[in-house]
Amino acid sequence: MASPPSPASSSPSPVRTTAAPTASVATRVLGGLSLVMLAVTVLLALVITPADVVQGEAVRLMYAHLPTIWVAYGSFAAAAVASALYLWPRTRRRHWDRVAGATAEVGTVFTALCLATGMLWGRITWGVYWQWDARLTTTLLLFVVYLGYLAVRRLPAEPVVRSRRSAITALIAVVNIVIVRYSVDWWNTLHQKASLTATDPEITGEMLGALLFSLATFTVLASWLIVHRYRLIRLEELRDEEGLQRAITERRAEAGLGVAG
Amino acid sequence: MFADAALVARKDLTLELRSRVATNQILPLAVLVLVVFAFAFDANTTLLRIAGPGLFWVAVLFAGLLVVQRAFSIEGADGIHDALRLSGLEPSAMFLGKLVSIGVQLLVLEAALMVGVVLFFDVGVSDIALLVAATVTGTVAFAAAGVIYGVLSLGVRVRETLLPLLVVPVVAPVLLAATRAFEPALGVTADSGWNWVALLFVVAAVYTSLGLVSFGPLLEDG
Amino acid sequence: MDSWGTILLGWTIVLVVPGLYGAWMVLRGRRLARELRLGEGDDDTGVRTAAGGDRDLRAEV
Repeated sequence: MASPPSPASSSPSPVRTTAAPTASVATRVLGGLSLVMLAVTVLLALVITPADVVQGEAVRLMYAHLPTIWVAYGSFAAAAVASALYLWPRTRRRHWDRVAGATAEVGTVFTALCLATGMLWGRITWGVYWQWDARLTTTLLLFVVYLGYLAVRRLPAEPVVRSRRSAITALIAVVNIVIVRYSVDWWNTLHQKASLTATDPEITGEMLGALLFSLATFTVLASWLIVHRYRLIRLEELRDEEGLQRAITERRAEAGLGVAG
Repeated sequence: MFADAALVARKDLTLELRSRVATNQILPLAVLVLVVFAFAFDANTTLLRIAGPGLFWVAVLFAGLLVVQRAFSIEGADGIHDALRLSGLEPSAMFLGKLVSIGVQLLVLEAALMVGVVLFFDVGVSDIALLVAATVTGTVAFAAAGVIYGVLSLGVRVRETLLPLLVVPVVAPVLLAATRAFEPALGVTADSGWNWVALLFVVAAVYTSLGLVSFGPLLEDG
Repeated sequence: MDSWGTILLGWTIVLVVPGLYGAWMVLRGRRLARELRLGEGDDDTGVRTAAGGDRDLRAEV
């Protein structure tokens, strides 16, 4: 992950923004750490840990499946907190809106990963790709809810409007997920279907260690992604501001009003 | 506040009475959906009876989305939603008014759909109290969610596709609970439906509270 | 699909998808940064951007 040479120093001419690519020392450290930890995790999951007594080799997918959903939930929690901070007048800063956007998107990606690994794991253990159990159903709805959030973030609007709308949507999404979770859990008790939860292997000893390490790995990976996403949002905001300023200048020039002060 | 809410509700319902879009267009469409289900299930009467409760609520979902879309398109047309914003009415009152108006239209549609389900799917009503309770709470929950996302997507050009994407996941638990409550009410199972009605009530209360609080900020941003 | 095939597929997805996502962000970030810096060359008219002032983006996270 080499990064380009440091940005040009500012000229003596009037104020300008110094835009830099999203990489930095911090991200290079995070990224490097991610790679190393991922390698170790894969080794642990595929080679070093034993097969499960009940599930056999299938359990090796658990080391990917469980951490992805935990990371997703963590990201969405961060997005909710950031959204609340943005909405609260005393703590309102663009920074929180960007945090919400970055964490929500990364969370959505990890939710998709969770669904994919869940389906593959289910294929081996139950023979079917999908079960309407509480966890999978809730995760699926979670995924769609946040796709909706991302759609709201992309709506063309003034930045403040977009941020506020997104923040409100994020908070409603949290409430919604809680409701979904309860409803689906309740529903599930009527059916007593085989679920990933019911067939979760007993996790002890080296399996637990490997699982926790995997969780740490995916957390570091997610952090790397979140930092980049945050900075990318920042760059996009700069570009929009720049475009707006240019449009204003041109308009004023046309009107013969001279340069905006 | 309730007077203002009544004002908004009456305005919307009068508009609907005059245009009759819900009764002349949405209702026939909803009934047609029931017909389509019969085709989809190959007229298997046993299956249709068992699935009746669920199919009813799917048809309600379909019709309900159209009702909500319409409720907010009349505001958005010709920039009229500015009038709503500038009217000086309390946002929470406006929320309640919209909720009532959409709710009433939905209830009318549901009554007609119920008749359709009873006729077409050979379903019998065993517990009318349960049926009514589930319908009312489910409708309030649905309408509340619809109003929240309806006002959020005011003036948005992709509203036709964004609104369903936002509303459906949010009302999924409502459909789940309402169907489970309908099953004993229509004699399909012998479970207790009242637990589900309790859940519907909680959901309706939560969404209504969320709506009362967020309608103002969302309207300003429109 | 046999067990090991599925397991490897799952792990491949979990490694490749974040990798591609990260790569996309890095590349897009570089492109935007380049655009913004080049854009300033022409904009020597004293226009103050909404943000104002020289800023090192990286210091702002």
